[in-house]
Amino acid sequence: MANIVEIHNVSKTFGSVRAVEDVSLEIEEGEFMTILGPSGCGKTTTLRMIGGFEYPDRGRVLLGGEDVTDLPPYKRPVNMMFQDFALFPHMTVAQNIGYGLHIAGLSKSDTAKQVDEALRTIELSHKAASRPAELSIGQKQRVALARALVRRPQVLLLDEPMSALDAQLRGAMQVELKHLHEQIGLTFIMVTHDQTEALVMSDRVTVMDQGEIVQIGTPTELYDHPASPYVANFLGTSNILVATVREIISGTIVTDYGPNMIRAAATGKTPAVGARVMLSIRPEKLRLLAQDAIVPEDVNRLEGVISEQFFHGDSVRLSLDIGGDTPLVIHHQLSSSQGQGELPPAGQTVNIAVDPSSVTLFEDIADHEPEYRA
Amino acid sequence: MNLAQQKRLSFAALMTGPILWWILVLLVPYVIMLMISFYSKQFPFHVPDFQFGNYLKIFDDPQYFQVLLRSLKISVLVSLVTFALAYPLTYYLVFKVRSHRVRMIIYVATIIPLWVSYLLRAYTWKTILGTEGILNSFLMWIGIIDEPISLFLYNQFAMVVTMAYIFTPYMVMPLFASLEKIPRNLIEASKDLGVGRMGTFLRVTLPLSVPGILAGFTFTFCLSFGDFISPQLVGGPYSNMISNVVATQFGIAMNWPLGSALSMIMLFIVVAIITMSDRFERAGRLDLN
Repeated sequence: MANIVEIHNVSKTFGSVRAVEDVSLEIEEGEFMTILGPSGCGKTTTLRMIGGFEYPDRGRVLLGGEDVTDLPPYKRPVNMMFQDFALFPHMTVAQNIGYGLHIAGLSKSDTAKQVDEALRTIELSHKAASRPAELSIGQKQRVALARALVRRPQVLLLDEPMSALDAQLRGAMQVELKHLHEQIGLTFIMVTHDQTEALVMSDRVTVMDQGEIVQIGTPTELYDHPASPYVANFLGTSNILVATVREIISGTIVTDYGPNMIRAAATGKTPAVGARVMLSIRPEKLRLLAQDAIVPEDVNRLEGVISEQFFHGDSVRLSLDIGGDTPLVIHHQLSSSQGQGELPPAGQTVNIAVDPSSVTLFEDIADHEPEYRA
Repeated sequence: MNLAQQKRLSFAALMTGPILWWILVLLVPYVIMLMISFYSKQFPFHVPDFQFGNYLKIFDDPQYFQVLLRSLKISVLVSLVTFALAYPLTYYLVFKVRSHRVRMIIYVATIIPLWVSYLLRAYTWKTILGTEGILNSFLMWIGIIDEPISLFLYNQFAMVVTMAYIFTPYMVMPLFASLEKIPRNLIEASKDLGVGRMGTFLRVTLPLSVPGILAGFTFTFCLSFGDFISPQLVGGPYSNMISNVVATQFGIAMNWPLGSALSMIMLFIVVAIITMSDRFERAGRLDLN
């Protein structure tokens, strides 16, 4: 498929703050792309440069193969849903939705027809004459969405679309937006700091940090094969352990972490023997073993002492001291056959297992170590 | 004494001062003025009475009615000139000046004349516009005129210029507040929806700054309507404003009843305008957050 949006080596500085540094990104037509990162990582600036609200210091922005870097927002075939919706408070819901249509050269009756249709789609026909202040947050969001879509843009930009919603509404809207995307097949570019949102909704996710792109990939790729400890920890949680390479045996890297031996499947470059590396293990990939359980030879078997238990309702998180610098967190799903009461109590020594393929190894420890030392 | 009683007592103690002040300095004088406006003039002073002669005289005698009309005209002119000066300036400050510091410096510089004596500021214009003034000297220096002209001073033009200068801060302040309150993303949303700069200004920025415009007009109109210094300093013979007439009635003419009636009419006009602007503001009050 063709790229609908292309960003080439774009940089943007605000005063002395480097917001975006040499970012390149290609977004395919019909794709749901999410730009994910903490506040100040440059994700919003990147989105605003696609929308035309920021002018890049360097680099080009292409829409549908056409260079739009120098075009003002009102000449770009994209529309944005703003973070707090930006509905015009002095206009009715219908006027808000029809705002951009009249300008586009549509006759009054055509505008009215399209506005009616849009109102019916979002099931707010009865609110046509209301002011935005009279709407609930969820209704406001639907109006903002309708207003952006009614102009039939080539790309829909969504700036933190869920940030104003409460947790319950958020979940519902995530599904609704995803369905909408599947129905109309439009390219969506969303900016968020919420990793769940990114994982649930996107076809691909771009992770940004300090103005630069860290990794681009599908949610599964990012979750299972994070490119750095930063990504591993930003998407979901992860145990990050600093271990020492003992030996490398045919595709498996054997490391020492305290008294335990942890094996990781080699995926990229193989580190030197004796090197310090970082291991990332997802809490849910760690299995609590029964005392007498037997695990296959090629599965990691670790021993540790339970230090704390945190009850999460449907699951328990166990903090386990396995003799290294950092305790290991295990996500243990409770089931109908096993309640929290049946779990070993704090202070007990237990065995856990993890597949080497679930252990991600990072070589460039120097870049990341300081962040995790504290 | 329980907590509720204690609270009530301390509240009463707190409010006594302001209420007394309000009664003594505002309510009582207004009542006295209202009463005197119905008295009759009788040499050498006036006698208590209840008759509408003073009010009738104001609308009958062209001398007073003309002054009233002139005051309204001058006030409207001053408000319009002030608005024409203040809106572009404030717009520029709020939307175009990027540095917060520069914006505050220009804003404060605009407001700061309020700390200088009103009389001094009005007097300044006398020295600018007079025959020996800066304007004449300048025009002679660049050769447009050969000798000083007296067109600039002692007329209504001079009054409007002086008052517009003096009251500009009162227009800038509410405009600044209302323009600054407009969320930037509304302007961005308008552009995002395909509307250019001018359209965005006319359909978003201007309508949303109406509360500031109303407040600014109310301030400048009411302040110029009641002004009596500028007419005296720079106004000349045919520029008497209603306040000057009131001052004369309480002074040289010793006609307190007529002065009071004139004051009541002024008060009525000003209150009517404030009420109207308040109504408009309420009707269009918007939730900008």
